[in-house]
Amino acid sequence: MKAIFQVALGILAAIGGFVDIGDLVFNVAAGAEFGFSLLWVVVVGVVGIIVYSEMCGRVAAVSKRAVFDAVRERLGFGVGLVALVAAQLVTFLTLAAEVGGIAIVLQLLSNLPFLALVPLAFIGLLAAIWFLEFEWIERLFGYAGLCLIVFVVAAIKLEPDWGSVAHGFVPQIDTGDPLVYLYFMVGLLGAAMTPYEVYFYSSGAIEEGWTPKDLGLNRLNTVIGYGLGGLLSFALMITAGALFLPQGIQPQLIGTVALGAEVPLGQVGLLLALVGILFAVGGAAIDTCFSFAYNLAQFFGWEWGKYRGPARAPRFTLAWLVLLVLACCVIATGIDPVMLTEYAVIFSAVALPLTYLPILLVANDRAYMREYANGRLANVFGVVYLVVILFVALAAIPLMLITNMGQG
Amino acid sequence: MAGTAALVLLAAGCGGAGSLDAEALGQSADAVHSSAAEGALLAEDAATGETSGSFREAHAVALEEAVAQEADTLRASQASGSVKSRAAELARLADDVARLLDRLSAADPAEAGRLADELGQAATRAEELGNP
Repeated sequence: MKAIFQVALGILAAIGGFVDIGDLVFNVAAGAEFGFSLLWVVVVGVVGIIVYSEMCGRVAAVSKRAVFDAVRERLGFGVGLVALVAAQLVTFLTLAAEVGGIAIVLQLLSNLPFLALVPLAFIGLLAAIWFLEFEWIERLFGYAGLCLIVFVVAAIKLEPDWGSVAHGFVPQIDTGDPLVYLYFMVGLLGAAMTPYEVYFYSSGAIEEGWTPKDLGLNRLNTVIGYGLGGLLSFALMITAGALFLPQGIQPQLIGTVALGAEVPLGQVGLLLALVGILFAVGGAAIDTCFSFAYNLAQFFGWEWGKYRGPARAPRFTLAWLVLLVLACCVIATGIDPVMLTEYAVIFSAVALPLTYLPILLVANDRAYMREYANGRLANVFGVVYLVVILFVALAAIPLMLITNMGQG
Repeated sequence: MAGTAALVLLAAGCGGAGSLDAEALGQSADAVHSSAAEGALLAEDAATGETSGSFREAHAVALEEAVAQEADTLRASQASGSVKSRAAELARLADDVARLLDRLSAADPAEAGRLADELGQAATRAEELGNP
């Protein structure tokens, strides 16, 4: 039981980060558009986030430094500030989208007016962050988010052509519409490796007081947590490919995601899907809220940490509180959370190199990391993924404009 | 980054209604088809009691709003020749789909069964208009 609770950070990072509103939208849309042929991109994204999260957790456990400590030191104040602004903008967009996602799911559960549910989402998030200890936030949102496993059952129940599913794990390019295919590739990678996941993960490791003794737990967290996130992403894409693609349905709504579980599994499937989405998106909202405050505090050298409490870390507390209020205000204007999500994912992709390069540099620095510095395998993966990330960052906005956000 | 984001958001927001060619009409037809086909799925579940009342109402309304917006865009766009007549018919069809979805939001199981058939037919018609 203790071991199950210990991997909660990885599961929250995975459920609340890997399977957030961006992944729900992109995985389902990708499956509805290209069937199973983008499954291999999810594998690339999962391995990438495992590689870099493991590095972040190791750096945090050994050096007691979170990502933005390293960013400022390695990139200098000027470039570091650019990285901070980029990260914070993306994190803010993501949080607003997640808050909107929570309100939509509450609406699908209750049929109450959307605008009445935005304040309820705010109160729920505020209460969870304020009153729950960090470990209980992880457990509640991480494990309740596991209701999303209903999509694994739904995918199996829909009886897809498993040969085609297996073929989807082979890297390929759709020659029918290569630019839209590339757009979805970039979106899936951006959603899988979105920067706030590693900000949250590394700071969370410090919140939990990890030491080099916890490096095994770090590996377990990243492999199990993100591996699980990957499994859920596969399930979402397979469900969409088996159900929506043959019917010509283009998913544009959160409700469509839930319909993917309802059609094969009925009301029980629907309820589990909605509860899973609610907690996954709620967990992601908390991740992003904390990530914003972590980044700001670490960059400017403020006291930070949920464990310190508001009195000992007032600026950190104020940062996440103000951000949460602003995100709720933005979403209360009526802006479409799904559209906001797509922008957040694409801009995340642009910001990736500024997040991941400093991590790779610090994880290689023996002055900080001593015998725990990157080995050859971690460096090979780290460099390969840095190249992938650079391609994704350069291609993201041109592809978004050329393909009209994947509309062709 | 912030400047780029602002420019891109501005560019994306400036699309509005413009001239409608055969390709754009095809995309609109796909959107109408999608809403109708998804509405048909929802209606089938409503007919067999496999969805919740809240979900049916809220999701049908969301689909209705999306297809009504598509109808408005079609009506505001400028087209010529055969595209113009197909666009007008597609706009009417989108209005019909919106009405069916509105009825679905408050339908009993028997009514939902009938709506599933009608939405299915509307989805087929939208496909035909997009690929004549």
